[in-house]
Amino acid sequence: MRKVIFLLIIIMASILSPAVFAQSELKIQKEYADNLFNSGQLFDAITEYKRLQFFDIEGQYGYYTNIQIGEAYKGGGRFDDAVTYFANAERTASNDSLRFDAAINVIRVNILRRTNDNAHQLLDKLEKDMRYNDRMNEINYWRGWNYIFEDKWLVASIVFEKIDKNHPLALISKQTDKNKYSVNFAKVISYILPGFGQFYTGNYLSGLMSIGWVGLTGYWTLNSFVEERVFDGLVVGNLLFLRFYRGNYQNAEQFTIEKNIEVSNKSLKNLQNNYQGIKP
Amino acid sequence: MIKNILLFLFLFVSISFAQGINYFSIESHKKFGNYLFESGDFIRANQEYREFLSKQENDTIRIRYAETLFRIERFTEAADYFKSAFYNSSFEDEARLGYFKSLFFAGLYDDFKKDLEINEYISPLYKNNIMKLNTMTYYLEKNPLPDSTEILSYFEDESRIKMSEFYLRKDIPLRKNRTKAALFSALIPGSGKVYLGEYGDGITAFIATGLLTYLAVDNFNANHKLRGAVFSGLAFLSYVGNIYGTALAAEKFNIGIKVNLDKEIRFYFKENNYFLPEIKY
Repeated sequence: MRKVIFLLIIIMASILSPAVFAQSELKIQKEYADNLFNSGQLFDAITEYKRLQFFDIEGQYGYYTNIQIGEAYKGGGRFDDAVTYFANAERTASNDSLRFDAAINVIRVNILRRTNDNAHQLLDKLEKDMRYNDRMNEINYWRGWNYIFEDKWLVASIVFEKIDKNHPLALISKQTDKNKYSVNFAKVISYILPGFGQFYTGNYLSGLMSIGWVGLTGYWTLNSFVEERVFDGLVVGNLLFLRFYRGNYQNAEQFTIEKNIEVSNKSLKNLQNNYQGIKP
Repeated sequence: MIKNILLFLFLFVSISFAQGINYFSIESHKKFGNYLFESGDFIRANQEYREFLSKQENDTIRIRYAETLFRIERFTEAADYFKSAFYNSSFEDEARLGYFKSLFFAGLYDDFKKDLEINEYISPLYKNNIMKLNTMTYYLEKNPLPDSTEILSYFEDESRIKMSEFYLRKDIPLRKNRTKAALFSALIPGSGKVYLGEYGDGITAFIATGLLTYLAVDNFNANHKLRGAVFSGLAFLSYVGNIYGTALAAEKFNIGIKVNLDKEIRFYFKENNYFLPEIKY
């Protein structure tokens, strides 16, 4: 009887030992890769996660390694590679929740690399998927971020408000939109009062120059017509007056766009440094 | 006795399996390196192969290691490794081609030509590819081109026609004379630009200078001295600026011919993968 039991133990040990050793080796390798990842050695972390993935024949760590490799590539600014691995994670996910998380990671990289249309399409896909009805807030959250990166702050604030009326990102987005200058107003005011579009954006010297040039060439044009030197008037009017008049409102438009970029960048910097929530 | 045998068996099985899953063994480096190589991660494949080669010699891994160096654009090192597989290797021909392509991409054209004279360096299997690379070095260099008969003989059909076209454009570029263009613009404003093929700019310069001169004269006649002086100044600036602009445009045109041809040549070579064969190691 004892011999039989002993024999059974031997047989069981022979069968189970490779699996047990493999498991523990995989676990050690995972910990090694995690340490590298956590200490910021992303290049080496990717190598070790890839090694883990390669030797993990059963695919036990398939999802995990894909996500971690994606994160490491993302951290190193290799967005295309990051998308590839997050997409792999989506394929290897064992349940809907993990699949959703991987899909969100793909979306976040798309937001970061400014392929915003792709991000919207992927968000639409998730939104239409009935399985993720309970994760609508997350979908709205990343859609809001996508609008922020598209410089559509007002739309972003509306989307964030769907999550919570007083969502901090809704308030920041709304405030940024308020701080921005109106391109149309700057152009229209410059049509009516040359130079005032530049004043509106705080470019006073440029505004004064516009008033001076448009006034002087306008006077020369009118004076030529008054003195019945019609050809003279037409030439001065076309070549000089209209050139300065057009330059005046184009300048106002350009200044407004530049100012708005400044406002957006300031808000983005503020979000990057001070916002505590999850960022793309 | 049986107990001892069984115990020994158990230990043997356990130890052998435990050793079998060492991810950092020589064999594991090789397997993992091959996986990375196949998946295009050459920088990591290079690391794995380096580990392997530090402990064991293998023809395939040596040539693959050289290839990873080439793919990660460490061309001079790649050349050295390809060269180390010139003799007593299963990939002697591939190594010779790899050596020359590494020198080519490293831009070491002088070394390329010097080593081309050593007959034993040239692989009979890939001689045509190596000679094509040699021809391409002439196209990418600043030096005058040698006689076309020999350097074009390695190209066939369409590629030969295209290479002949590039040869002619590089050998006899259709340059424009800067002084001639400036003189044209001095005689008739804008005509220098027309000579350079910039018709829109030429007509605009002619009209602008003409109108400004007219306005100057007309304002002086109407006794508007200030306006007359302003338009005279503008007319003068337009006239002189046009002459200067024409001279610059001629220079730009000549540089453009060279730069555009160079771009076109490089694009053509790249499009055809430098006439290199796809090799599976």
